[in-house]
Amino acid sequence: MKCGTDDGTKDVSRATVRQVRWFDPRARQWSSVPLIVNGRILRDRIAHAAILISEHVPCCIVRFLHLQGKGPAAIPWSSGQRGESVIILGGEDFDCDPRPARFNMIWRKMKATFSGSGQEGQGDAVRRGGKRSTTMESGGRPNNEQHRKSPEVTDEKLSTPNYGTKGGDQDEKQARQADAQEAPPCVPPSANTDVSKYLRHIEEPKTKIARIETASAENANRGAQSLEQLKNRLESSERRRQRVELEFGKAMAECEKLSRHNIALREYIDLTRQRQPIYTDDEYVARIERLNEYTKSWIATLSKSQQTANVQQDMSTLLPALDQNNYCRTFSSVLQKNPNMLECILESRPRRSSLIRQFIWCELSEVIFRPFCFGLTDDVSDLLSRTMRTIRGLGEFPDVWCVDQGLTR
Amino acid sequence: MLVRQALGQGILKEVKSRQESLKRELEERLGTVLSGLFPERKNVKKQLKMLVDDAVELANMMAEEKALFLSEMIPIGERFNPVHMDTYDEGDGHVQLCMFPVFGLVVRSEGTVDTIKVLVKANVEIS
Repeated sequence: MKCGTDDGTKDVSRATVRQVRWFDPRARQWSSVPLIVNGRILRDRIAHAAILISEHVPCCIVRFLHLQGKGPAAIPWSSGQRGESVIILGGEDFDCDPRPARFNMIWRKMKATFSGSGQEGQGDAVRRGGKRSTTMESGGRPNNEQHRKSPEVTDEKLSTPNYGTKGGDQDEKQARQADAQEAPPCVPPSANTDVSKYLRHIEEPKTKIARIETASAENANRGAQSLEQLKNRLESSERRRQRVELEFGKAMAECEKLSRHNIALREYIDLTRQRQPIYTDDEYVARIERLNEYTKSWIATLSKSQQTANVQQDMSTLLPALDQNNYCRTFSSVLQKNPNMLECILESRPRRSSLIRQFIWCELSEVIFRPFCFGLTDDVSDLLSRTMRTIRGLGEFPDVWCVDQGLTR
Repeated sequence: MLVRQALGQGILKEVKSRQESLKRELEERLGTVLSGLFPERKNVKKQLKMLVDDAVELANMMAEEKALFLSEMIPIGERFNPVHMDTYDEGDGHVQLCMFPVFGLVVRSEGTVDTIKVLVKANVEIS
């Protein structure tokens, strides 16, 4: 945890500490406590902030400024320059001194500082000490390295303020010594040093131009590299697109193939699916009877009309037709042997109609209803009928069927 | 029956295109005889076409059905059997003319002999 003023690196020479702000790395957010209420600095607030922080986060570094018009302009709060006071309460993250005695000592001093002296006291403390902070790193802490590795403190110096200790223990002294060694000495501002600093910042034009050129070259180089990277990415994208297109084409071809296969499978499944009767028996009976009635009425109507003049003509028409039909062939042969019989039939109008109906239905039965399916030739139809009988025989009576057919299983 | 139905449906799909020409051929043959017997009638062919169309439609339905249909003309001289024959004549004689075939269904039960379920009896004249 870090705490600082909200002034940051602004000109704080004439500013006061308005608030204590800290960043909580666990919550990843900044928090703050205002220190000025109605234009007055509340010292209690400072202490309160420290307590609040230490309560919330056991490992904390409370840091705030005592500025009061002291110190040069533009002092960043975290720079460790003069005017800054730092209180380290300790904490496990930075492996600050874990000894409770030391922690309590610092805490006591901090409380004494903020409650005992006042704002002026603080200012006095700053004035007295100038740079009067001590780093805790040299304050007897055994694991220095760990502290340095911590990301929160590597870029900052940890220092503690001089709280005007009179006795001062050994740790405090060591800390001050180490701080004096590590931190840059706080030199009071003088004209010479300021001018030299200022002059040091004035660069020669050539140097500046060279620097600009170098920067331009670096920028150009960086741009070329970026362009090259973009080009490579574009090429790889193009290659990837082509590869995807190829794969897509293959996938589509495979899909079409599977689709065709799927259609074939669906047809096969349709054929093998358990089928149910399409029409009921009554529907078939109705249709068959309708055909019978239609034939009956039609022939009856025909028979009422003008008929042939003589029976001989009827015989010459009917006999060859009957002879061509398998059903009627026997009947035809009987009629040919007994011409009187045919004459008797033809002379009677009802019987003549019956004979014509017989002829019609003999033809319809033989051509339409006898075959396995209307439209097949006789050979194919017979073959299918035999196949059906074989399938049924082998399926239901295999032993009997094989014996009957002279086969062995 | 399943095989019969599958075969019937498959074959019907193939032969349906041929059926029209075969129907016309049958109508032609029957029409020739009937025109000889009824020379004055002009509408024989038209009515014959209706009859043949209905008959073929019925046959196609039977071919697609999950059943084995039977259509038999009763042979001349067979003894009258009221189970599957129907007549207006009286007596118990022999079949002289069969004017309409018997239509029935072959009923198959596993392990038993086929039986015929008569749908429409044959129309016969007995002597």
